[in-house]
Amino acid sequence: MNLKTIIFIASTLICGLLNGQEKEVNLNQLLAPSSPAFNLLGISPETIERPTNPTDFALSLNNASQNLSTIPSNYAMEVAPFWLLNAKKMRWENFIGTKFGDNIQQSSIVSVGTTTTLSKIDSSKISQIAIGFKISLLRGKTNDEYKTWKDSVDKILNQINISYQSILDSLIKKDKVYQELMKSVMDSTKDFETKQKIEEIAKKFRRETIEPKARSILYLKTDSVKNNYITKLAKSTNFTRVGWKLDFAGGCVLDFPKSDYYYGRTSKAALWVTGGYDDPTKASFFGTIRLNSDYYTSMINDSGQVIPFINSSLLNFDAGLKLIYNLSEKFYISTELIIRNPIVPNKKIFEANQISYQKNTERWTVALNYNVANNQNVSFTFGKNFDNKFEGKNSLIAFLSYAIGIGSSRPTK
Amino acid sequence: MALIKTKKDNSPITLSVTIKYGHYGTTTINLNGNPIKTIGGNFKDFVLGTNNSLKHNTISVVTSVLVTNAELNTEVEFDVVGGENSDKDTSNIKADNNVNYVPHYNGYTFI
Repeated sequence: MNLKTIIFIASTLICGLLNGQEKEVNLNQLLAPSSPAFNLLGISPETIERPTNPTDFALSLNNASQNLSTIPSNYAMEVAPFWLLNAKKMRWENFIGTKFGDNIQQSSIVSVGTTTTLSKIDSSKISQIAIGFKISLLRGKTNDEYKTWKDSVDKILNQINISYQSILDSLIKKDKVYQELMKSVMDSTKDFETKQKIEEIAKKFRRETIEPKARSILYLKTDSVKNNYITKLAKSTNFTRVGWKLDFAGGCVLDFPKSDYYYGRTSKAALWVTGGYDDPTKASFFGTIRLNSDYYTSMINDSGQVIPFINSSLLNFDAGLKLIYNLSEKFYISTELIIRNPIVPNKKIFEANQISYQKNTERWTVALNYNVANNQNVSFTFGKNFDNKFEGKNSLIAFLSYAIGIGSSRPTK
Repeated sequence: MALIKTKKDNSPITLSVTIKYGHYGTTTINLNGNPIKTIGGNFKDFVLGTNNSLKHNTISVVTSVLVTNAELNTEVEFDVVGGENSDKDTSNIKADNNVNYVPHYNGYTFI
């Protein structure tokens, strides 16, 4: 039994014993989510039926909502507004660049989601609709990975250009209609304007008749190995970016008790700001600020009694800092600190009704991480957890964990 | 082949290529059938030659677009300026579902 196997077994056992630790808040949960609406609803995009295009979405929405007579449950949509409205004007340089305007154009995402939950007071059904947005103001620069990709693409597309030119030239020479038209274009007895008009006809003929044939021949002549390589390059545009990054996200949740539009109210709102310097190969540090507001019309107090018409907000201000330092390709150390400052505007109402709330608290951890193999990670974490909500006792964090990744990642742009 | 009437001087004639829908592409420029330059991405005002040097010659341009996002439309704008007349032309081709590259062509005869 080698060292890796021993670590695997030990850490799996410890993970099982410390399963509850996974539910604690850590910095990753505070970071600006890619889909703020989904995050606010407390559901992951994977639990939502995700349509592949607007037509699919309209169809599934219509089916789910009984011909739009009710609010559907568990549906979500993400839209990149600039891409949706302005795709034709988008340029590769906007995608790869770091200009402020390009960053906003390329990274803006609006997410909308719905789900259904049960009231903790009377178990009645509550439909929830969340709307969120995310913008990356700074994205960092692409590194050598992009240069390598560009060199490979230029090389293969240049080969395609030469092949296509050769195929097209051959078809043009054989095409009698096109040759006749071009003869007329070059006829010295005709004036320039007439030549241009004939040339327009010749171009239209070439584009509609000869070029499609040339493309078909090119695609047939290109072997599957080359085709697969081009496909791989086309899908490998999720380049690593190094440098300063700054994300801004926000969203809110509207509750509709008993799925009735007229009872609708805002129950939750949140804003995230995450920024820092990121170099995945060396060291990274980033900080995050989250302001989260929950609005309650009624609550359950510490004795389990329902307190109606409380109409109060609970705000949480979270601030976090994380440092990651790569000691080697497989071994890195990370540390994080999260400070949680609850803001209770109506403390007297809470105290009078014996409703306890979270006090100021913080959590810090230091973790040593080792990538045992591809998608397999062992980490030792030590630190202090958030104080307990009611008793205020500190809790020690000290555990080994083993994580294995299955499935494939979804590239994003 | 678009006709470009040349001026009787040595002023430059230039080519600009714009690839739309955020895709990446590579352009090969040929003079009388022989490749003279390959350029990656969009470019502006590449000097093809002088008016006098380009007279009685042909330039052909092939830009292959790599479909790098979900948009299957590919469009390339070719813009030649500097002669007696200019030529701005757009080639629009929708990519097949199973092919990730689309070649676009344009040609110029200088008289």
